Formats: sequence, structure tokens, C-alpha cells
Amino acid sequence: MAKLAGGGMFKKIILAMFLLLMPAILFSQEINQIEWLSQLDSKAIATFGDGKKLFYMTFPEFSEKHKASPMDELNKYSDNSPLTRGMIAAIIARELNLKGSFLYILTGWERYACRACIAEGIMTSDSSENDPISGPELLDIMIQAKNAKGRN
Amino acid sequence: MKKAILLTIFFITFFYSSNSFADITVIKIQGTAAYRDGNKWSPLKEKMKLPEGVKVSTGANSYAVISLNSINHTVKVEPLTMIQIFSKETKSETDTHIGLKRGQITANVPRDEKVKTIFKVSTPVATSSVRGTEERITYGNRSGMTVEVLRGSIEATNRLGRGNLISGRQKFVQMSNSANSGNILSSVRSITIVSVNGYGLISEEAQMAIQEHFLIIFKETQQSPSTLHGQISWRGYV
Repeated sequence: MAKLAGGGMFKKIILAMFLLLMPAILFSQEINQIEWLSQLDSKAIATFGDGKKLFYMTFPEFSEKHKASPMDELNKYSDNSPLTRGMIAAIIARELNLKGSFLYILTGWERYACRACIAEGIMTSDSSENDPISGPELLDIMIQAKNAKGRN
Repeated sequence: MKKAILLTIFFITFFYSSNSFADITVIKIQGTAAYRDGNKWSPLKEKMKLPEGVKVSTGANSYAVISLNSINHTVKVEPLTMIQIFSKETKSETDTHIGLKRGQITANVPRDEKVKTIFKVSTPVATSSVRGTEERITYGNRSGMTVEVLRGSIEATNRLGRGNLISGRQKFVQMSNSANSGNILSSVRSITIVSVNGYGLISEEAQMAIQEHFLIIFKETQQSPSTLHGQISWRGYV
């Protein structure tokens, strides 16, 4: 009987500790995101993994969608490969269904994905689809993509 | 005794005229927002008081609304943004300076005739001075600085000191890799200025005229379309 009572008390202690630690766990997850963004902001060359992660953070609705049907563009390169404008433009053009993305969908050439992003004001027109992009540039592109989605 | 009174008056006047730090208070938060506390980031909470020179950062799909002084100047820090806030306030003057490292903010600066207001937002490429207004400022490493006036008027100046006074939903755009700022009417030009073709026709009227002539000439002559197009152009409609 005493053993049973002790077990009940133990469960209550575990539950109380969990409730006490819950806000701390949630806050640390939030702070991790800010720390990661801060690190990304100082990266000279972003990786394909960074691009994917930031895209899912900015557009969480696509994260759920891709669990059911993975998109080709997201598995085309390894996460460690240096990110180019063409790679991130391809993801954005297909997912946000940009007006000028028809030629990209038809041919699969990243050059056309870049053009669609330039037409929507997401990217600037002063470099090619093969140029690597830095962390601050990736953040800039994602902010503009979010604004473009809001406009459409 | 007189000296003591004069000294007291001098110290009181000096105390009230000198700048004191304004109350920087968090009004509202959605999602993830943090401030730099020493060497680490700490989560922002509503009604939290922040120190002068504080750095604030927001995560994806998050925002924070921050009050900058007692006369209700506010800034909304939009997603993926990092700013630094300096705000000073006396009874007759407010002096607020925001450094925008990346992202987008919406500043709301209601005009108070009794208080001299200095409200500046700086990015690495340009500075905007608000004059009783609401404005949205975006800065990105590649896209440069864009100042959109939602209400009132502002003055935007680039690094070379070239300024533009902007009002009425106009935009100031300063690209990162350019010495000159963009035309402030570029965003509205396409919808306000109509291009005029030959005979004073706008493009839609010219198009209709071409179609009508195409049909008439086709009926009269029964010629091939390529020959007809040459004739219409020659007649001066396009």
C-alpha cells in the first residue's frame, strides 16, 4: 500500500517538474531559432540545407505538404552543397507558383526560375543563377519572397 | 542665500533640459522575438522594459511591437528582422534612432506640436527622417533600402547626402550597389502615365483601330494577313 502511494507521489513529482521545465524548453527552442538566424547572417556562403531550413521556417505550410509528397527540388542536392541563386529560386518559383515560373516548370532550367524571381522583385538582376549566395542574401531573398506571397 | 537659490534653479533647469533615456517597452509579441542580453539572446516578453541601445531580433512568421517613448511612438518589428534602438526623451524633445541591420519595420510616429521630434531610421546605405507619419522600411543585403510612406511625409537621404522628401504612398529605393537612389515615382508610373501612340491614341485604342482596319482591308482586298500588317503600320497607327 505504502509502495503504491510512493509511486503516485513519484508521478506527481515528475509531472510538476515537466510543467516547470516546459516554458524553459519552449523558450530555448525559440532562442535556438534566433541564434541560428544570427549565425546565418554572418555566413559568407550559405548551404542548400540552410536554404531548405529557412524556406520551411518562413513557409511552414509547405513543410506539412512535403511530408506527404516530397518535392524534387528539395532533394536534388545534398544539404552541405553551397547554395546558388538558381537552387533557391527553383524552390521559391515552384512552391509560390510565381507568374513567370511556367518556362521553369516546362524546361526545369534554374535560369528561368531566377527570371521569375527577378520579375516578382524577390531577387536582383545583377548576377546569374550559378552565383553562390551568402547568409544575408538568403535572408533578404526570403523576406522578399514572403512579401511577394503577401502581394499575390 | 541668493546664490543657493540660483544654483538650485540652475540645477533643476539643467536636469530637465538634459536628455534622459526614454522608456522602451514591449507592447505585443507574436511568435519568436528576442533581445541581446550581454553575449546571449533572451526571449522578449510583453510589458518588458528594454535598455537604451538594445538589439531586437525576430524569427520567421513573428513580430514584436515596441513603444519607444511616452508620446506613443511605436515600431513594429516584422519577421526575420534585426534592429538596434536608441531613444532619448525630455519634456520638449524626443530623439529616437533605429539601426536596421536586416528585415522590415513599420514605424508609427504621431505628430505632437508641443514636442520637437527627431526620428531616424538608418541602414548601411541610407537614412530616413520621419516627420509625423507612418512608414514601412525594408533593408536587405542585395535589395538595398526601400522606404514606403504609408501616411504623412519623410525625408530619405543616401550616403552621399542626396535627399528626397517623400509623401503620399511614394517609395524611396536605394540599391546597395548604386550611388543614386531610384525614382520615387517608379512604383506608380506604370499605372498613372499612359503611353500615347500615333494620332494621339492610347495603346488600347490603337490595338482596336488595327483590328478594325484589318477587317475592313481584308474584306475589300482579300489579301494575306502578312501583307495587311505592313499596310497598317505604314498608315501610321503603330
